[in-house]
Amino acid sequence: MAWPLSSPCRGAADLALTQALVETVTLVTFVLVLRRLPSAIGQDHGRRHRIVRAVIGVGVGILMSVVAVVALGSRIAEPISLKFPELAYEGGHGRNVVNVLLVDIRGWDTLGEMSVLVVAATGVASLVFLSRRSSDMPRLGPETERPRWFAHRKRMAQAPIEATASAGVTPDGAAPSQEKGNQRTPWLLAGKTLAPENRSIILEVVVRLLFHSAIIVSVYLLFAGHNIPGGGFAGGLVAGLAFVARYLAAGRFELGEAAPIDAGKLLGFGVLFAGGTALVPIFFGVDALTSTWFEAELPVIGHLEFVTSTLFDIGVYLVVVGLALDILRSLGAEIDRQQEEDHGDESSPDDGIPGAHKVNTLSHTPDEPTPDTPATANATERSTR
Amino acid sequence: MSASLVLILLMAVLYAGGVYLLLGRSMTRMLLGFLLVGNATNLLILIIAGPAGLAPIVADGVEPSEMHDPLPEALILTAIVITFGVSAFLLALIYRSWRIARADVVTSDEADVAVGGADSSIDDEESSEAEDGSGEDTEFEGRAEAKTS
Repeated sequence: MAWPLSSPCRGAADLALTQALVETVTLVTFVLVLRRLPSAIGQDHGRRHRIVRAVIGVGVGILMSVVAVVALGSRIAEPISLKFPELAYEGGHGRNVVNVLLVDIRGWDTLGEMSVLVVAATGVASLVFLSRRSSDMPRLGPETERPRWFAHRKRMAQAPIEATASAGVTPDGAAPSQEKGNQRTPWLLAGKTLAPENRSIILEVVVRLLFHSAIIVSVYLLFAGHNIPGGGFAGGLVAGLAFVARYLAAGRFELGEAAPIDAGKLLGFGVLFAGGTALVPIFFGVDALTSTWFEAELPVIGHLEFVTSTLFDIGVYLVVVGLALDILRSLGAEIDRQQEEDHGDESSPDDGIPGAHKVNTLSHTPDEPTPDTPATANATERSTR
Repeated sequence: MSASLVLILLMAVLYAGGVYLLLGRSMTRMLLGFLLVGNATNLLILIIAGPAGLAPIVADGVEPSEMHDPLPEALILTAIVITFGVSAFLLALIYRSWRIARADVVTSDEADVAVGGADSSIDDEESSEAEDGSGEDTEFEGRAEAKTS
């Protein structure tokens, strides 16, 4: 092999893209949970076996190095993947071999992975929603049945705006709500639900400007992924990060406004959609997950190709977006709500040990909330145990 | 076939640290260990994927033998996303454990220890862990009572 073996470039562009996006989302998820836990969490408890654990850890590290070297040395046969570029281009009609592998050649693998994601997201939601599983996100106004954006904006513009909210900040005049003239709409709809000291106007403005661009980039990655690095996973993660930004900038009500859809339904629809597109070829007398493509010459756009495995990728995209929304809804919004519930009208929610002042009254009756139970009863009961 | 020594060393360190953290009793440390082991396994697959090459994107003048093996890349891509999903689940588990039991520690299962035979060393460890746990509980509950009364 003439290629520089120690070169840092492994030729894995899809991996780099997905890994960077996943690490970002993982970091945000980590912080979302850890901000509600005391700083003493995660201290080393098993002091007694520290040396044993260290020895086992080093042993595993050495063992896996040997495994890697031996496995690499055993690759003497011609790899099957030499045929994949041809298969991907001729059969899958895509240039990005990794993406065609995921959505076409090894589509069942991806379908199983999507199922794992749905199960994990369901587990997250059922662990965090202690007493209820709300089907809809908290919205701003009472007339939340109408998801029409412009009508909502108009209503927001008519609502009295507090003096603290976005004084001196106005969006561009293209918004239809600007017909009111002197009325000012906030950059993010739910920005004024935050306490003034927790708001960052700069963050709200930047998120407002970037959100739609990020969604467009995510859709571009989804459709371009068949031929260049990208695909449903990367696209869905970018869209998920866009929602993360909306949530971080303006809180849980903003999340409800940004994605007024049940994350569980999105996850289920994504899996059903992908599974459905996988099964459609059976009705045409070929194997499941067989893909085909259509070509057309359109007057303005020009030459257009559409590969049916893109539909499968759309299912992947929906599942990843649903996973991100589900995590934000559970580990973000619901934890916020429980925190507010715990603290009531306490004005200092950000002290050292959040949530530790009061023993959770829901812990003994997870089926129905009993806010009247005095918290000290649980505490004494636990301490006498 | 030769491999990058840096990648192998990095993988070994990730595995060692990950297994060390996984063997602890704190769930937060277990989650960090899980993330390390997950990344180490992805690196393992990447190492045994063979020599580096061009990105596996079909283009004119690029032979399949010049490309990096696309199959391990697809496997790693799947693993990355699943690692994310499972770590989110573990985070929810940590939050739930803290919110309900005020504990981040996985204690020994008494029934399991009894089934495994009455080993005196395990009993010792069990009692010391229980003391640790109850000490922390009273600390927090003392605060809770002070706050609510």
